Amino acid sequence: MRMVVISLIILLLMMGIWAWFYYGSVNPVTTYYWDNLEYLSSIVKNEDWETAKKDISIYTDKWHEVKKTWVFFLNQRDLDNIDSSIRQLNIYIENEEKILAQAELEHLVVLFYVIDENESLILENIF
Amino acid sequence: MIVAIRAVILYAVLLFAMRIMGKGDLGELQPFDLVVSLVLAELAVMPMEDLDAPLFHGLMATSVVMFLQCLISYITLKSNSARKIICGTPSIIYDHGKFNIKDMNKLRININDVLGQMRLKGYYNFKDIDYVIMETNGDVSIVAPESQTADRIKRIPIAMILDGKIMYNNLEKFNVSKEDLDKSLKKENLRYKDVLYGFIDENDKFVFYKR
Repeated sequence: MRMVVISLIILLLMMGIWAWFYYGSVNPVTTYYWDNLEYLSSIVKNEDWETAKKDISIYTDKWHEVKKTWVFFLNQRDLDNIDSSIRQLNIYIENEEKILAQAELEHLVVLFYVIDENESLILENIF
Repeated sequence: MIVAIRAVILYAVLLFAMRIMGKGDLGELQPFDLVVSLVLAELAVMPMEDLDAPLFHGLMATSVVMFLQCLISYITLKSNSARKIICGTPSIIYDHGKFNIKDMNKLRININDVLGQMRLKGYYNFKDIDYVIMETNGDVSIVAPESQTADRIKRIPIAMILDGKIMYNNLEKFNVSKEDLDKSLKKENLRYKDVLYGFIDENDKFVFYKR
């Protein structure tokens, strides 16, 4: 019985860590990026490059903070894809490339959507 | 280097998991326990090989398997019916001269397997044993009236018929004529296909065990 209790405690601990990670980090962070990237898209559409440059700098800094935790729980490839997309987006906005920046913004939204979808507790993910 | 560090961490986790699950001796494992051990090993290898996969995935899967295994072990310890379902029951495959063909077929073991296990345990003749029992962990127990050592046997019994088929190689090798075999079978009113195991013993006497 002791071993059952020990293994149950370990399992609950692992599940608790996952729940903290998903509900405390993945879910709010992806929602944050969906909302803000959509807003950034409208800024880029209006070619307000000064605001766009300021905003993308904030989002990039936040991403570097978030990545420090995510790296322990998520597939490295998914994180690398977001890294690469954010870097490209920075270059497009810096060079004021409207169409390319808008396309990359959509790509980035999809990458965050994929992360949230892969981690969420839904039947499709189980099977 | 990263692989080496990951390997060390996973090794420690596996060691801990195996200790928690109480796996001391692989030879005593139930078939189900063996499968769980293999699954655990596979779970550890995945994050060890794939550097893109986070260690957390392997640790989570390992803790789930470890918990389920501990739970199943506890249930089988406490409940007889659960033990029957999960571990199965021992089968008596030979009982005082009679073979339990139904159970042998169910366990998918043939007469050669039984003879091999007998020899491994130092018995060469069904005459010397009362029961052959297939245990739930796949081991074979032999119950004999008294301990029979190989020294007391002049010659090991030579199989002449196995599962209804004549062992022509043995007939030739040990100079046994097929006519003598036929005569002995006729005397006992048996056909080849009725015989599960027929042999010539140390006194050159034919002994047949029916199906």
